Amino acid sequence: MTLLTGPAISNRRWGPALLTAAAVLLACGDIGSKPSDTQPGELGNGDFIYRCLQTIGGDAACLEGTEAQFPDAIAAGGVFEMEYRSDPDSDLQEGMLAVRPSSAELVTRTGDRFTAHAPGYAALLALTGDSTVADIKHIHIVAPAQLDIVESLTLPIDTVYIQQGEERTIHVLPRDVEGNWLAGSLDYAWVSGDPTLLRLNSAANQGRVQIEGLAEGETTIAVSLGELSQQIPVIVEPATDPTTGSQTDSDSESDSDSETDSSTDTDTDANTDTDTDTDTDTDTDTDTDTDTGLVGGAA
Amino acid sequence: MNVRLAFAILTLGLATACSPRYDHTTLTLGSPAPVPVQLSPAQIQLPAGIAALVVAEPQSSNANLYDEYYEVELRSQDPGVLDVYPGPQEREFVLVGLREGTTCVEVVIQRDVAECIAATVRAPEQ
Repeated sequence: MTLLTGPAISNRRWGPALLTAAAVLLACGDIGSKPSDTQPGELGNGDFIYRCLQTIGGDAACLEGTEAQFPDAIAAGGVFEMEYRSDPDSDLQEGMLAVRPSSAELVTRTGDRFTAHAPGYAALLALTGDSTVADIKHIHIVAPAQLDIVESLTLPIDTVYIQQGEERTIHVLPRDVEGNWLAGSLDYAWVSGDPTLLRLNSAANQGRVQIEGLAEGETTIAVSLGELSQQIPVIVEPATDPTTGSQTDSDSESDSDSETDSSTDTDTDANTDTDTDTDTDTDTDTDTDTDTGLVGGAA
Repeated sequence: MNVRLAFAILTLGLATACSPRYDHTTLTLGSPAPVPVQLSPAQIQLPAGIAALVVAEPQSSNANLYDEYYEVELRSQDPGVLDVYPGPQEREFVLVGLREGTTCVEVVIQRDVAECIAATVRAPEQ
């Protein structure tokens, strides 16, 4: 990063300030490219480009670690960006054209940002300089009916397992009544059930949140959007000893297995690791847990 | 009879006889719409939020056609309910439902309003 080289970084006064500013910019996602995906316009004269807001991760269409996807539907209340690039072979004006929503009752535009307001189908029009419609794209706006806490588009989680000191990012996915995910950045509220056990390390109003296990125990994490909410249990486990790979239990009691084990288990590992396991139970658990922390379960 | 007057009447008569006589305008849907759009020579119906590319072809009741030399335009009487944009090609227009209501769409040929087609914008379809 050239921003931080040269005299600025060596200056004790400005160096930390610049580093802080860069960190803030990175955290806010105000620099760097935005994920995008394209779909041809309905008149075949070019492509519409869907872009998630720079607060990457706030939009299900651009979940971290997955390719951006042009959405089938956008959540009512969702904010997004849309551009249009005309086909060089078309007779129309070349390059990027202005995109305008059809009906202000359904979608409005402020600067580069579009906000979907009410359920329905709304056309976005790509306009040339003389207000000729070069192309059309209809978007489907749907009211969210449920929220899922997920690790990815295809991996809902029903319990979060996290170790002390570990940081992890989880997402919320709004869905319609049929379970289809909805795009658009929305204004969520994340809450830790017990901030002494689980801390939220990032802005708690986005579609994703970074959590950190602080102390061993069980708590919850909840996310809400208007009247919709979702809450799942969080189990903060002892930190793994980096030298042995085994977990360092902070209490002196023998733990009971956190899974559905009702036998006389003297396991010191909440996840049945095979290396230190003296488990004598007769259950059919064949876990080969590799301590990935998050345990997924189909919602 | 004054020769000049006779010539003028003859010229006017020939010109009228060679011109198309407006009958109606056919509107053909030229783009896919996610919900039904109704188009007929007498009625346009679409939901708010929907944009539909239509091809407008005025029809003559006599043997003379509205060929490409006739300039055709569609114009909404209430652009707050239904707006009309020019489309990519001649005689192509994009009808856009803005909000629920009724209006009419003028068919303008050579800058003269030939008729006004009733238009209804329905509530948005979900």
